[in-house]
Amino acid sequence: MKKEFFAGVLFLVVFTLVLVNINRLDTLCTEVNTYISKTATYAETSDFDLAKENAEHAITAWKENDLYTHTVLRHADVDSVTDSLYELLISVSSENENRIKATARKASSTVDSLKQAEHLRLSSIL
Amino acid sequence: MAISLVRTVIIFITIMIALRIMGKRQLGELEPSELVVTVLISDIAATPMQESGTPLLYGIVPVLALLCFEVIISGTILKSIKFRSILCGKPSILINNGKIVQSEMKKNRFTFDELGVELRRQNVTDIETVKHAILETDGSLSILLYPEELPVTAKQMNVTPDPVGYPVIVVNNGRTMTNNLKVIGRDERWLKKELKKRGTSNINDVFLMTADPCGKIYLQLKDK
Repeated sequence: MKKEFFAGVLFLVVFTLVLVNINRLDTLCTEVNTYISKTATYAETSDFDLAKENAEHAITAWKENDLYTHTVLRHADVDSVTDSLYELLISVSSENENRIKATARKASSTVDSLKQAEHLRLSSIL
Repeated sequence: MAISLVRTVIIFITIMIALRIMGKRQLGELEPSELVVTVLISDIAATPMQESGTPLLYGIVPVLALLCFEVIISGTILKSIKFRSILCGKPSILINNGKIVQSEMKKNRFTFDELGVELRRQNVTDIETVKHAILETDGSLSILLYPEELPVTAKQMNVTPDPVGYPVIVVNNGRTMTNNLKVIGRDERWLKKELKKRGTSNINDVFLMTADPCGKIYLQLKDK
């Protein structure tokens, strides 16, 4: 009975940690997406300095959690987000509004798909 | 490559701990749930071992989940007969009172060739000697012979055999197993006396020595 009890507790602990992980990932992705959307907004108003600053903040926020992201996510997925963020930074340097908007949408979509993949939904499970 | 190696070690240790907690049954005859868990564990563990782009947790978390499920299920099986019959099924009688039960053979998709193989594995070549043959839930076949086909026992012959004890290893490759000596109620002084009786006084020369509580001793010295 003791063994089964501890097994049940262990399962609940693991499940709780999984939920905590989903929450943490959500927070991180929301933070990065906020910087991405600010980058696009500033680019629209031709304030490319602030756009660049926010693009750099997005990269910093993502890179700061490098150990965490590499521990809980597929490395290919982590790298694709990193690549899209650097792509955004490069596009900001070009000062081409349309290009910045497109790369911002791409980066945001990559981050969102990563976030959604970890959520407990039927489409993710299946 | 180094990552793959370290992951293999970590996953191996995790699986060893998991299987150890699950118990000996995982290693021997398996119930359906146990077989599923064992097969799944090896499959799940292989992916992060081979693909360094997959996080280690993708192997460890499912293994932990399987471990929990297996312990809970096996505990529930012990307590609930109904749950056990749902999960493990019921034994099937393939031979009943010397007659092959064809409906059970068909139900279990068990051919006569397979039945013959299982009987021969248990040294039964004449099916007429078998009273009952039961296909157990773990896939093994239990055979009950007719009483007149069974080997004679000492009791039936009114013979009192020498007592048999459970032998334990008391010296293993030159090392004295003190705990095992205590199990059979002996000590190191007794050990030295027995070794001297058998022509050696140096424990380091002993490859293997077993003893049982009834005094039966097996001794083998190391090759020189």
